[in-house]
Amino acid sequence: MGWFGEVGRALGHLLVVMLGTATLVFAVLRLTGDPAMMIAPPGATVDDLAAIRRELGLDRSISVQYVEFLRRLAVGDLAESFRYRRPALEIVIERAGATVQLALAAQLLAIVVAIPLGVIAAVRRDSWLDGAVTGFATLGQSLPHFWLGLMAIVVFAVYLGWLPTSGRGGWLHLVLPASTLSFYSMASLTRLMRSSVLEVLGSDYIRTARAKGLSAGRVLCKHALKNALIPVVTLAGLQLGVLLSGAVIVETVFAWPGIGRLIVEAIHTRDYPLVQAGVVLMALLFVVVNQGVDYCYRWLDPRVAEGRR
Amino acid sequence: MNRSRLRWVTTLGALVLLVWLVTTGTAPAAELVAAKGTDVTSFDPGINPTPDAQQVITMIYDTLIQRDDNMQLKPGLAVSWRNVEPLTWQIKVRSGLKFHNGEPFDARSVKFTLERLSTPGDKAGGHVMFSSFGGIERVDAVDLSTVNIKTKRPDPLLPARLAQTFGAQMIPAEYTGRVGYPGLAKNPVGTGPYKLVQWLKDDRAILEANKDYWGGAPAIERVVWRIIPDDLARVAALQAGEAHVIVRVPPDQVPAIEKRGGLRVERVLGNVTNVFVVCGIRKDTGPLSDKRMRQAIAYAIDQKSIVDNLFRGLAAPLGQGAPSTDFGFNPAIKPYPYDPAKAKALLAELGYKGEEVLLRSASGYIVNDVAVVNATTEMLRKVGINARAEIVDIQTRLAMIKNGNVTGLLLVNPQGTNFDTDGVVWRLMSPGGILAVHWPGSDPGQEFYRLMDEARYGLDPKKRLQNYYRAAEIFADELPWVPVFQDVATFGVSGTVKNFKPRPDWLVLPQRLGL
Repeated sequence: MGWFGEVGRALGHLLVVMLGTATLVFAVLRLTGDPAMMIAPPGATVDDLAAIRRELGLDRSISVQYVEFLRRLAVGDLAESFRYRRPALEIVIERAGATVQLALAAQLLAIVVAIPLGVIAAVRRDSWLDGAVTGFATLGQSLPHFWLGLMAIVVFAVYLGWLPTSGRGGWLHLVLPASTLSFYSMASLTRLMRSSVLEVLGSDYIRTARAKGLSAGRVLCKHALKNALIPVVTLAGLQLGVLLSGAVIVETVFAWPGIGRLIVEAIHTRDYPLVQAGVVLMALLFVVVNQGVDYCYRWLDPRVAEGRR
Repeated sequence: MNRSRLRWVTTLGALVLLVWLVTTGTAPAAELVAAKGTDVTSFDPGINPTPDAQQVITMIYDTLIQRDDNMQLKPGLAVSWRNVEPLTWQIKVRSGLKFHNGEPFDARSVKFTLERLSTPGDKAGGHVMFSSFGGIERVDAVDLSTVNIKTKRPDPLLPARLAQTFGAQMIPAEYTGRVGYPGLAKNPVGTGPYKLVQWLKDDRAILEANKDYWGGAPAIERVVWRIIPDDLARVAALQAGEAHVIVRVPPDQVPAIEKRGGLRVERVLGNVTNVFVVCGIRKDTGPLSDKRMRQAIAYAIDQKSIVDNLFRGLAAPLGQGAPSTDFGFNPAIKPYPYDPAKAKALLAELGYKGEEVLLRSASGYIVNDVAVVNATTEMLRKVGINARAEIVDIQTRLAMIKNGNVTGLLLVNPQGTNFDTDGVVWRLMSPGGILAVHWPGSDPGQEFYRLMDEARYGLDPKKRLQNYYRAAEIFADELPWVPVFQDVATFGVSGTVKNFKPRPDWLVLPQRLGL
C-alpha cells in the first residue's frame, strides 16, 4: 500500500470512529434528562423551563437536532455550552493540556519504574524479590484510583506535609496525581516486562550468547533487553490512550482541572454540547495516539512494516 | 529494534515533558485561600444559578439590597426602598459610586440591569432570571439617585428579589453595551469589594481588593478561591494548611477537623430543607391519598435519629415546608414526634391493608440520600407499613416530580430563593409550579391557595405573616411533603482567620475577614 493509500485508510478509520462516537454520545445524552432543569435557578416555573428549552433548541424533534448536530460537526462547530454560553470546543481545548500533561507524566513514571522492576523480578525469578514485585503488581492492578489518591493525600500531604494536597500549580502538584494515575499502568507494565524478559531469556539465541561465555549482565543488557522491550513499548503506547480516560477519577480527587472532570461535571448538569465536544475530542486523541503508536512501533521494529507490505 | 532510534525518541519525550513541567506556575503567598466544590460557570451574574457560583459573583458585583448575617435586608447599593404606590417601589441609590472600570454607578445602571432581567432570557443575553424579575413592568430613572420600579401586580417580595444572590447584581450599562454580555462574562466589571485578576476554570479564581470599595477597603488584599470537588480532598487542603476556609464539611469529617489544633468547624442552620414529596395524592392512587397515612409516616420517622446518626448533629428536625431561616416559618409548629404507637393507631384507623409504599431517591444528589431513604424505609416497616426503598436515576426522579400519576415518596431538597415562604413552598406548589401536580390542596378555591396567593401579592407584612402561619398549619396537617430535616451550613475554618461568621446562605464574605 502506498503512502497515500495508508493516509487515506487512516483518515477513513478516523472518520468512522468519530461519526460513530458522535452519534452514540448524541443519542445516549438525550436519555439522561432535561438540561433546562439544571440551568434554571430554583425559582423557575414550568413556563420558564419551556422558554429555556426553546432557547437551547431542545423543543425541536430529536431528528432535527441530530441533523443540525451533524451539519455543525462537519464544519468543526460543536455548538455553545448550555451553561457557560461559550463555544464548547473552546472550553474543552482549554482543558486538554492539563489532562495530556497528567497522562504523559503518569506514563513516563510508569515506564521508568516498571522496566527495572520487571527485569529484576525476571532475573531473580522465584526469589523473595520476585514475590515482592509480583505482589506489588497485583496490588497495583487491584487498588481503585480514588482510594489510592485519598490515601496518598492523607499520608504525603496532610501528615508528612511533603506535597500539596491538590490543584494544579508547580511541578510538585503533579507528583501525587501522576503517581496515583500511573499505578495501574505501572503494575501491568511490570508484569509484562517480567514475562517478556523471562521468555527472551529462555530463547535459543540467549543460550548461544551464554555458551559463548558472555557474562550474565552482558547477556541481559546487550541481547535480552532490547527484544524484551518490544511488547512493553507497544503496551505503554496503547495505555496512554487509556490513561487519558482514566484521568477522570484522579482529576476529581486531586482537583486537577482536566478534560475528564469537565466531562463528568457536564454530564451531571446535562450540558449536551460540552459532553459532545469532550467525548469527540477524547475519541480524536485516542485514535491519533493509537495511530501514532502504530507508526512509532513500525519505525522502531521494521519487521512490522515489512509484514504489512 | 534500532537502539539509537529508541534513545532518540525517549530523550525527546523526556525533554518535552520536563519543559512543560517546569513552565507551570507557582503559588503566590500572603493571601486568603478558600475552597469550594464547584466553579462559577460565567461571570455574567444573570446566568449563574448555583450557590457555589454566587460566591465569587458576589465579591465582584453588588446587589441593591443585601442581607446581614441573620438574613435581614440591609442597604447595599441602595440606601432605601419603599412602596410609593401599590404597584411602584421607589429605590434611592448611593451617589458618587463607580464600577471597577471608572464608569459611574447610578440610576441608569439600575434601569439597564432590571430591564435586562425583566426581559425573557432568550432576548437578553441568555439570562435565567426571568422567573424572579418577569413581574416588573417598567423601570424609570427619576434622577441619578432615584429609580421607580413599576410592577404588574403588587409585589411585596421585590426587595427580597433585589437582594437575591441568584443574579440580581448590578452591571454597568455603558461597558456591557460596548462589549456585550459575553464580553462582560469574560472580563467582569462590577462595584464589588474585589476585582477578578485571573480565572483558571475549575482550578482557581484569583481576586484582588477594590481599594475604593464604597463599604471600605477590604483588609485581605488577595483572595484565591480554589475548586476542590472531592469532599475529603477539600478537608485535606484545610488540614494541610493550604486553605484557610473550606465550604461544606462532610459530617463524618467534623471530628477529624476539630481534633486538629488551630482548625474549627463553623455551622449555622441553612435554608435548604429535605423532604419526601408525596406523589400522586391528587389522583387518589393508593393509601397515600389519605392524610392519615401521611401522618402515620411522619410519626414513624425518627428525625432525631437521622440527624444524630447520619448527620452527626449537622442537621435539624423539621416540621413544615419552609426552613426556619425564612419569613413565614411558624415557630409554633413542632416536628412530628417519633411515636410508633400513634402511627400504628392511624394505620388501623384508616384500614391500611399492606399496600406497598415506595420510597425513592436518586443517588448522590443529596448528602447521604441513599442512607436516609434506607433508614426511613426501615422505620416505616417497623410500624407495619410495607415500605420499599428504590434508588432511581435522575431521569426517573424527574419524571416522578412532573407526573401526577405515580405514587410513592420522593426525597427532594427544596432550597429557598428569597428567605420567604413564597420562595420555597409556593414557588413549587402554586399552580404551574414544579411540584403542583401532586396535591389538590394548592389549587384555586382551596384555603391554602387563598392564603398563599394573598401573601404573594399583599403589601402588609403582618397580614402576610398571619397568612403564612395559617398555611403552615394546613401544610403540617395535610403533609403534601413529609419533612425530614433541615440542612446545616458548615465551614471549615483555620484559626488564623478572624471575624468569620457562618451564614445560612452559605456565603463567605472575605471583605469582612482578617488574617
